[in-house]
Amino acid sequence: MTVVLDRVSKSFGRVEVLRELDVTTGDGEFLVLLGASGSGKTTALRMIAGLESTTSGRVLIGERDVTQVLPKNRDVAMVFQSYALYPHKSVAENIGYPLRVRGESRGEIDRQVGEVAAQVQLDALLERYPRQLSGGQRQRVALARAMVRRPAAFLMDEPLSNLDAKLRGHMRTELRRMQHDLGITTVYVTHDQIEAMTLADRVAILEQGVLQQLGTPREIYEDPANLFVAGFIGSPPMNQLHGRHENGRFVNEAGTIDTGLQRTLDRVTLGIRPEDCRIVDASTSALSGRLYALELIGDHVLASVTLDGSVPVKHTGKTDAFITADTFAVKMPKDYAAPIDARVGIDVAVEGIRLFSGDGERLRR
Amino acid sequence: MRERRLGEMSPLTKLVVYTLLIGWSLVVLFPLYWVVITSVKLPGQVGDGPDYLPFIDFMPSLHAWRYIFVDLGSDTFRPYLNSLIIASTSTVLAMSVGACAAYALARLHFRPRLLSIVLFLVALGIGVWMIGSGLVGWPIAAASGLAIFVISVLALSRVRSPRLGNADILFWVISQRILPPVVAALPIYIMFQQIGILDTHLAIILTYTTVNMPIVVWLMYDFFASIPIDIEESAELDGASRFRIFREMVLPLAKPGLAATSLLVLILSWNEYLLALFLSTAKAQTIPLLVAAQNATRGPQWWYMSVLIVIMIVPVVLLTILLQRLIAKGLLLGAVKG
Repeated sequence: MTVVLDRVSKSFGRVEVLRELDVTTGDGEFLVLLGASGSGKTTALRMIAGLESTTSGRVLIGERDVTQVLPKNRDVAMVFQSYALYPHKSVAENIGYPLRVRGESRGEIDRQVGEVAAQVQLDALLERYPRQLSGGQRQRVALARAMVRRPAAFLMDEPLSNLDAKLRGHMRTELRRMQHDLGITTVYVTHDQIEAMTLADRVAILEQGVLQQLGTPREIYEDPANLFVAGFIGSPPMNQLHGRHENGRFVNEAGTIDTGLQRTLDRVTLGIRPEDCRIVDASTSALSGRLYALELIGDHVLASVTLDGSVPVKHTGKTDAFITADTFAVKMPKDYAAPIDARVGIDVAVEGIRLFSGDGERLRR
Repeated sequence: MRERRLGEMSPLTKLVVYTLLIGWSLVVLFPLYWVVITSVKLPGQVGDGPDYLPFIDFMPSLHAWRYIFVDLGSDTFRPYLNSLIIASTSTVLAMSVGACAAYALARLHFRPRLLSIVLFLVALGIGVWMIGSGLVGWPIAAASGLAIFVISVLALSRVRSPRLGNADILFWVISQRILPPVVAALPIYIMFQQIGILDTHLAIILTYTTVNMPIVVWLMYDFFASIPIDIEESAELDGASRFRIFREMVLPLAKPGLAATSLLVLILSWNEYLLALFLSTAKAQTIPLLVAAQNATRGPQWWYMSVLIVIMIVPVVLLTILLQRLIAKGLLLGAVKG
């Protein structure tokens, strides 16, 4: 069953929270809505669930227009960030509640609850109450309650954010596996780009209610549509340099970079990821500066360089607004070493260069 | 000297604190003790005195108890039964209506037009004037007022008007209780007289329900609002109707609040004197009236009064003990984590 947001907008009074969001999932797809707080991602999810009305636009589940349909009739199951378990009911009663509301027989409820509980390894905990469970166990109860309904779509609102880091990684894998096995379309909201990259079939990046890009994790990483996406995805974020472009080269106070693009532009931003750069001898390099810090990450060393003259910038996502980032990041092999404050040069790989116009839009050749 | 833990008191502090606590307990409990022993004193002993200890200062006697239970018999029993019926019924009604109202105000969004409210008051005024002028009886006046209201609202439905919200409705409901009920005693008396239900259980039950319902709304609103809304949203997505959510999710989670509020309303109804005095004569007399009636022409008959007071207190004390655990949880209700 596909989920469609057909040019959906939402305003609370005068505040516009979502503008003309247009997204269609595939059948059985894991779609992630990614964005910072206030980007509108949770509102979009709640509109699919029917917990918020639309100001304009339509919501479709399968072929059905559910824009005016009550939440309980939409056949979607939601996992809330706080899990929203019923505190006065046992685990078995929590999981079985949707079936009980539907009017299933006692025996049938017990059977299906047992089946789902085994799938998420909760069968030993069926008589416990939510307050007696750990965070991970509660999360599995919430998941089981959604699964038992076999809905047309799963909706998940940052379900992993209340777990500690180690458990989060484990549950991520489990979630992906479960979704793959069940084949149920899932719309998943998160602010964590690593979660988005690892879980999603496709990612929809939202900022201030506007869709920035919709694509596979690889597409948004390699081929960002604008500076916001480029700066949001990737850890550490993409380096951005502000300057001019002429005669096939990018020029600013830190140096010049050959791009091969034959365009003349007064204001341009050059983006390059840390792994597409290399620290080289300062005399022959494209850019030059001083080594600010070295951090051993484990499998690589992250070098931070303060460039001569110009200051690296970071786009905030609003048109024409740049804030300064202090240093230029370069990923070096794990055995790289050099004295702090040494003069260094930086070379960039041409295929890693991404150019953006003065207002942040991606310039494609 | 051993280091003191945070919160642990020095011996001197402990002495002071416990002295104050014991002192205050005596202040609170002594009147109860006094009433109990007064109920076993002879009239003469009440007048002389004060005598504090039975069997030592005076010989207790059961004459007052015998009088109240045997001689008066049904004259005691009837008001007691009336109080039981009236207090429990009005509490159940006030809680039912009030809890539903509080939940609606906590979860639904009302935006009544100020214009509609003004029209309602105008129609009400017209209806009252019609009754006052004596032209028509009250059923016709009521029907006319209602018709005027409906027609004017429909006619002016396109006129723009500022809108009020839940907070305004909540304040209006609560403000009904700020007004002392006795202010409305005379109008209520005349109204019930016209309908012919004076001196009946129904009259007092209706009055108490109306008077106590704002308190229920006032207290239950906070309890309902503090229940995490995603529990209800989750139940909604699971397929439950609004009423089912109220019954199966909200009410069980608000049990401490419901217990505390019920007890408060019950106590208010049980002890209420002035409105019961207005609205009853003989048949619907409640226990507080009987207690006050012991203040006869020969002066207050403390011994009989004390017996009545003791039996009046007993049900409330028992109920409080039964609900005590629930109420303590309700008073200390912190964040409900889902």
